[in-house]
Amino acid sequence: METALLGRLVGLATALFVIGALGVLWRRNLLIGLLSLQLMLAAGQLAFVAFGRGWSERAAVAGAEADGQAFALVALIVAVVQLAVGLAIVLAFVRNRDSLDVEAASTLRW
Amino acid sequence: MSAEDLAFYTAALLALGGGLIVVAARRTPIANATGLVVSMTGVAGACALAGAPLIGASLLIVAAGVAVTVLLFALEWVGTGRDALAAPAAGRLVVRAFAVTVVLGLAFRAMQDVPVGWAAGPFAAPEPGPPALASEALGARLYGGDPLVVGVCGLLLLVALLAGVTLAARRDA
Repeated sequence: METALLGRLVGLATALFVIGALGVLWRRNLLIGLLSLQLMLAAGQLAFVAFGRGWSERAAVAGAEADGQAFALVALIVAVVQLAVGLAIVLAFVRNRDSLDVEAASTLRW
Repeated sequence: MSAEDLAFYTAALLALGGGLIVVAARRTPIANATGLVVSMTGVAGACALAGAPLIGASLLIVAAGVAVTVLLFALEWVGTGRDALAAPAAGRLVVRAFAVTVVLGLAFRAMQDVPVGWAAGPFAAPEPGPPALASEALGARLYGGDPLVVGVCGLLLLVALLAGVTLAARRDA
């Protein structure tokens, strides 16, 4: 993989992570926050793949590409688990607060 | 512009455009979920460009599929998505079907090994790079070194899913 493509992939991952972070910080809807977290995790997986491939080619590190993809797979599992538990929390939140607004979760605010 | 450049810019456009839809769409959460599918398609194409088509396919199938399926299930359960699920007009259906076909076609094309088959097309074929990591090598890496780690990951996934079901099923939560 050329260095230019590696740089582009890392730049794409960074931009996607920033968009996801903006969604988490900006939007007050819990479901949108959850989807934005998925964006951030996907950006992390893309960075793992790109760095693994680049490292194996430029630094000639044996197994670096497989390591990057293995990390990406583990991150994929974490994303699915986070989504399942997060949706369950959202459902419990809606039952208790009758709202999807994160501002409604103010019990611990002081 | 080479075929690799075109494939990357298409993937980047899908990923970033879908991400912006996820963050900015306010009409209905269904639009945000659709944006997530589009964004994941772009990321899958980028993964394929980086020599990881297996990761891209897994990301697209698992993340986007599970995300949208569970999200629609949750929306139906919570009851905030009923209006958005009303049948759209026929013209809008045609436009949406065309858009989905284009997106899937681009994603399928991006997941191909780009240098192969594009030499006769209108784009210049890039220099053949090193072969992509085979799925067998990735499997050997995961299960050959320490399979206990993969087993623990699977156990954590099962426990988390059971916890999610338990949390969602509690009426007095």
